[in-house]
Amino acid sequence: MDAQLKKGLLEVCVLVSLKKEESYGYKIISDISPYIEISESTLYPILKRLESTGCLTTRTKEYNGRLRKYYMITETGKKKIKESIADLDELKRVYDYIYREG
Amino acid sequence: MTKYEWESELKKGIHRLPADEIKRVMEYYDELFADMIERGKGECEIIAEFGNPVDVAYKILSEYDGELKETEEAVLPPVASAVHGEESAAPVQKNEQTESMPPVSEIPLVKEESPSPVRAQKKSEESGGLHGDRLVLFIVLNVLTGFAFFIVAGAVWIVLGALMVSGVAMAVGGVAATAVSFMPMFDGYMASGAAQLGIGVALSGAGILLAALMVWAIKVSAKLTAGFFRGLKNWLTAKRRAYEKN
Repeated sequence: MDAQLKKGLLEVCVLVSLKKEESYGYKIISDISPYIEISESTLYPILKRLESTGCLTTRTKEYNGRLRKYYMITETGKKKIKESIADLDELKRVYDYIYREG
Repeated sequence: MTKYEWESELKKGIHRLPADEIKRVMEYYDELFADMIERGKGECEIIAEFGNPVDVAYKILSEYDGELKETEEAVLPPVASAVHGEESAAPVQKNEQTESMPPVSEIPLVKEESPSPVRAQKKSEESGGLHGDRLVLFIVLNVLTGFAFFIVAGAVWIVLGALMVSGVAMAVGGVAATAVSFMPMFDGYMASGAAQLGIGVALSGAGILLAALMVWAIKVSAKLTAGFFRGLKNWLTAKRRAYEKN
């Protein structure tokens, strides 16, 4: 997939995976892998960026005697999901066009 | 390669990053290792999935540099016109790494429009998307109004042009009248000669004034027209700014 397109989609997918409840690195990857290819090294900068733009917050919790970083979505993050869903209609039209006529 | 070796290689690769960033990266991968081992994966399998630590390090570095560059660009421009704008712009030397731009939802980080050259280059990369909806709106408006705007604008131009030509014609006529006004005077018809002289001069003067006025008016119209089309183009191709960008 086009790198730029993918990057934008990945950010939204990560946020969606956090929508219901907080999550952590490995779980995020497992949750969205079936839908879009994502590697550990790709996820890291995405999480960083989402945090810097206020779309998620983090906290560290103890788990099985070690520390685990949990990511929680914010109101800004939820808003971004909504806005992306609006974009998806347009995306679907474009996709249909390319798929049909291409 | 073992987990320890892989992590050492990675740490070496990113050693130039700030300490807290290195710590964050190492903790991230430590956690992933632990979670994957817990799920029964072997170290080798995990390392194979992570990939070459040198590649991972490179990826982290370029992302970091790209983000840094964008943060500078976002922060500097609004301040560029302020006192410390110049000082902060100079000493920053970072690796050039083009930040790829989020597409689908176009997520700009509070970037302000700015005249700075670096931003200008980035901006020219950004603008170029045509707003189909706005173009359609513009066309429909024009069709509905019978292209009224263009007709009126065209008419204005024509009128200005015509008036200018009239002005010139008046001036020419006035000069000619002045020139031949001496003839009746020589013939002894002083009164009519003088009258013709007077009228001729007045006409020339009026004609020149009118022509000059029209030249000015045409210049103004040219500026306005150019400005209108530029504004229209910008409006039609403006980059969408719905979100926060990184």
